[in-house]
Amino acid sequence: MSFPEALAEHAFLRNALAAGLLAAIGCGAIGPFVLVRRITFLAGGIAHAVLGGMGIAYFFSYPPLAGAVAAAVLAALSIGWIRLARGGREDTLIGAMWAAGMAVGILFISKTPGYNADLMSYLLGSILLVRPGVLVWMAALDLLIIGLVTFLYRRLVAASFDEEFARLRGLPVTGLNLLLLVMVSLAVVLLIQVVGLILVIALLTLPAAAAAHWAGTLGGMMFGAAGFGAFAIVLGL
Amino acid sequence: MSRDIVCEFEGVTAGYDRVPVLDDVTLAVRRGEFLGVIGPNGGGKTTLLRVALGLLEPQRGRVAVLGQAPRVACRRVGYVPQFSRFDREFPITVAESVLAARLSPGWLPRRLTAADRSAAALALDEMEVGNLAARPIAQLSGGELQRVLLARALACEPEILFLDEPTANVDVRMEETIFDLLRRLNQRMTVVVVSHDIGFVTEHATRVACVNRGLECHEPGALAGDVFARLYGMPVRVVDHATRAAR
Repeated sequence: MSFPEALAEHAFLRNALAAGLLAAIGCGAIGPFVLVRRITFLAGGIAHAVLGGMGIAYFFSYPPLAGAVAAAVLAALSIGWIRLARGGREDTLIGAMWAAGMAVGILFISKTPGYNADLMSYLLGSILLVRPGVLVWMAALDLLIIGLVTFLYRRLVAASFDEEFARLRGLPVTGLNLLLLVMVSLAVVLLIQVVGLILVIALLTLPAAAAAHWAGTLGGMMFGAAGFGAFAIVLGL
Repeated sequence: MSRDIVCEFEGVTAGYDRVPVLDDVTLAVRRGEFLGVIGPNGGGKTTLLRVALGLLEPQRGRVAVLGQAPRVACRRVGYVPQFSRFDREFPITVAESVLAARLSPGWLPRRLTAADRSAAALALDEMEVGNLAARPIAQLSGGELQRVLLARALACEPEILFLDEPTANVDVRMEETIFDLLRRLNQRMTVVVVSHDIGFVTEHATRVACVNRGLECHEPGALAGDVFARLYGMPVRVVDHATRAAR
């Protein structure tokens, strides 16, 4: 059976494809920023914090996605606060978040009564088991990210390229940086649904790095990264 | 404050953490002058600029730029940063980087107008890099990038131009070109140049400020070996520029 036939026959495969493409769009819009700002390590820290958030939400039987979003935004803002408001080095906090997020996540998931095969699916992703409800969430996050990036594109680029100059032109650089971190964290949540915690970094940076070879602008890099990401995910399916 | 003073420092102490880099500095930049700021590494040249731009709050003392607090006046000045600070691989075109000068302040984006685009194009042309507008900055030489950064500052339509080491990464010929451009700009705006290059500054500036924690100002002609000896804490050989030009 060829891939298109299988796609027509199985709803789960259609969901998987939709989830993959939605994730590719998110990583296309945010990946280039992660790359040029060199915040890959930070994105990794957020990803592990997200696992912690999902674990806690899972244990208290809230929707894991809500826990993921909450943990992601919280992690992004606390790192941003350390880095921007206090001018400190965020590496230590990221390192701590990395370990603590992982530990809390695994602990809570494994202590949750009942059958918890989900643990592995958070680590490695569960693209074949994505439910339509989650797809709606992912689409909403994508729309939010794309909307903000489009609306504030020049501002975000200016603040990324030369922070001091942007500040002198009266741009709210601190706010823009925090917003960018929050968007990175949302993109991480998107990607975890599909490829899991372990591959988040890869999908956030590799398509963008590939696109960087021929794209002359950050915008071009976004489209390229989304394309490469989508290609890789479809190929994987 | 007199209308002819565009930037004024009064007893300014500034630095990072508890160690002051600048100590009790008083300086008045006059409208239309070409002030060169020289001094040893770590002497406080860049800190002086950062305070004047409002990027660093002084620990003590008062600073006024164009009669306002630096943070308020910052949209009326142009700034050319040290380009070693840049990520040369950043995916941005020359035109895009210069247009950043035309962004409106605050959160709400404003559509770029024809006036914004022509101001950017004009600034690029004036710096003789108009033909590079569509290039990614990764493909520029050091001298080209320096002129693009100058164009970006010009696109702000500034009253004062602050430059941090504009000749640090370019060869001697490009140095001359850049200082010629600065002299031309000086006819319509005040120029403040921080540089480690004593020869250059004394050749082109109308006044020279020597910074090493403290600050003293000199007319370029009055700069003799003993001033440098005090500034750098060691004898400095001063080469007469007439001989330099004849070489």
